[in-house]
Amino acid sequence: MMEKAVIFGPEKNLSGILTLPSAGRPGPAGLPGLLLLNAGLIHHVGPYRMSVDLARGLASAGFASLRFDFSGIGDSPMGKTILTDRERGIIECQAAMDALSAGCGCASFVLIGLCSGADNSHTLAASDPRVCGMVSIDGYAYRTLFYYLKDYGPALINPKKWVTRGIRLLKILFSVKTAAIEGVAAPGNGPKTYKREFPPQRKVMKEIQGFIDRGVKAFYIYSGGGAPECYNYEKQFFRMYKAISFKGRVRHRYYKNADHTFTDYSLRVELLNEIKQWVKENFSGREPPPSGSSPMESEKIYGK
Amino acid sequence: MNPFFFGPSNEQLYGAYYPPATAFARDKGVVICQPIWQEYIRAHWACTQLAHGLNKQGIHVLLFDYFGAGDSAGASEEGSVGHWIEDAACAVQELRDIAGIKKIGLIGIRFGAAIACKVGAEKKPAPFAIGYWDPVLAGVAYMSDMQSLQERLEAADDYINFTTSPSKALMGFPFSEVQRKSIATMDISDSFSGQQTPYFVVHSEDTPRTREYIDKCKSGPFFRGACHVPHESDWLAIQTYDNIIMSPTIMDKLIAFMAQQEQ
Repeated sequence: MMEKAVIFGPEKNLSGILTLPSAGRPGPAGLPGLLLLNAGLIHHVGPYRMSVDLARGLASAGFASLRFDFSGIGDSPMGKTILTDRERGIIECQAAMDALSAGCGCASFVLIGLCSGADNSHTLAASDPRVCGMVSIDGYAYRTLFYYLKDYGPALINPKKWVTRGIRLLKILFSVKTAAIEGVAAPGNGPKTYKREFPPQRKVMKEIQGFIDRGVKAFYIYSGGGAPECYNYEKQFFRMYKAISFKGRVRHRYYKNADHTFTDYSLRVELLNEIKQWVKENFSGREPPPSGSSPMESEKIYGK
Repeated sequence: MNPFFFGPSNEQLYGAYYPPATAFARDKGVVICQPIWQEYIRAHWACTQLAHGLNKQGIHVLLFDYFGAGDSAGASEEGSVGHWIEDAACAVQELRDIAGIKKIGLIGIRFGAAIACKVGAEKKPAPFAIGYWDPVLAGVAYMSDMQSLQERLEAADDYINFTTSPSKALMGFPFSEVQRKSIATMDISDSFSGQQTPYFVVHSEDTPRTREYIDKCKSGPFFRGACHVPHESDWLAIQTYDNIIMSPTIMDKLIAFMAQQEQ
């Protein structure tokens, strides 16, 4: 394995670490490259160094990867171009794909992200045909009927909980639909604030169906503590997305006892092993996608 | 910022060199000794801002990861305090080489302060100054604080259940017995008064323990002052255990101190 620090991107302001399976040589032909995305404001090593462990673990199975910082996070300063978060996410992920492609020759990519990283993975999978796989940890979530039964059911038989649950229900009813804030406003020249808002469920479902139909394989992971205000049981994933035809390309796992960043070491080891296993099972020996390697025009934000 | 790897080929360390604008460049640099474990993750953004602030004063900066931390080689449990002190010394030499300067100072944050203190005392040539940010004085107390934070967090959060023994991992970070022992035996509480390098302390807590070591500092000839900045970096609060540390006042104090020192 060899690791190399790289600077890339249209403004040459993005910083990352390229991990190659063997020194000075690209990985086996046909294997996709892995992109490890920022989780919120945490820099590219990931929560508890999770991204480093994943990159090195998968390098031993022949996969090259790039873990990098979006502009304004970690080692990457803000760019000069004014863009929305969505535009920036697409441009910078595409730049990272180009950098990884230049470093190891891969033509397709698997995106791995937690929280905002999962959101960015979704956006890219929906917009760039080079994406062939995605691991989404605590991505978008939408309440279902059973969610409410599970959440409020215990309160019905325990009067002590009526008040607290009642207040919470009122807050939900009067709040913006399924919005979560991550990061805090910083005094002075603080880091960029990240506000996480889930897009409308129908839009997300349409996008998932789109990339599943294109052949993208996805592994959706949710933690019990990730967003308990909108995700709280094992089968919620398939119920909130019941209209989607997954075509056997989607795997789901609910870590009921885990917090959002998998703070417990043993649980995190289990998570990382499961991700590595899924990547190896689904992408070892994979052929490059036949659909070409340039992004769709509709999502191509800058000229390549 | 220029990212690169340096050090022995089998144990490469990750470094980020922040050069000042050429027109303002001075002939001195600062190596930032980051905290360890979860505090390293929390403080990384503050470290990059420190680097930018020092650059504005014409100072070259090297931000690096210890062996077994961040992007450097090694698994999290593999490093030890002795190793990290050697890493910091290696980073000092690296900054001398890449910037072509001789005068190097250190800023140490939390456990990184203990490492900076040891480098300042044991390695030659001595740094021109050391800035300490909430220094960890004794490894035993640090481990105890981490265990207490972990227990309070587990009691307060329904979704955090630490199934790994605290003798093997604390606050999510695994460690070997060698690493645990090396941290537990680290103690710089009596090192301040004997320091031969100008130093400055910024502390966010004001406890009897803090006041005691500040008093000890005052007896040394190289003590240049201490500053209490409350509420900016709550290292041991369960409500903010995974928040990014943002401490503009503390950073400003440290930058001003390093800029003023001309030994």
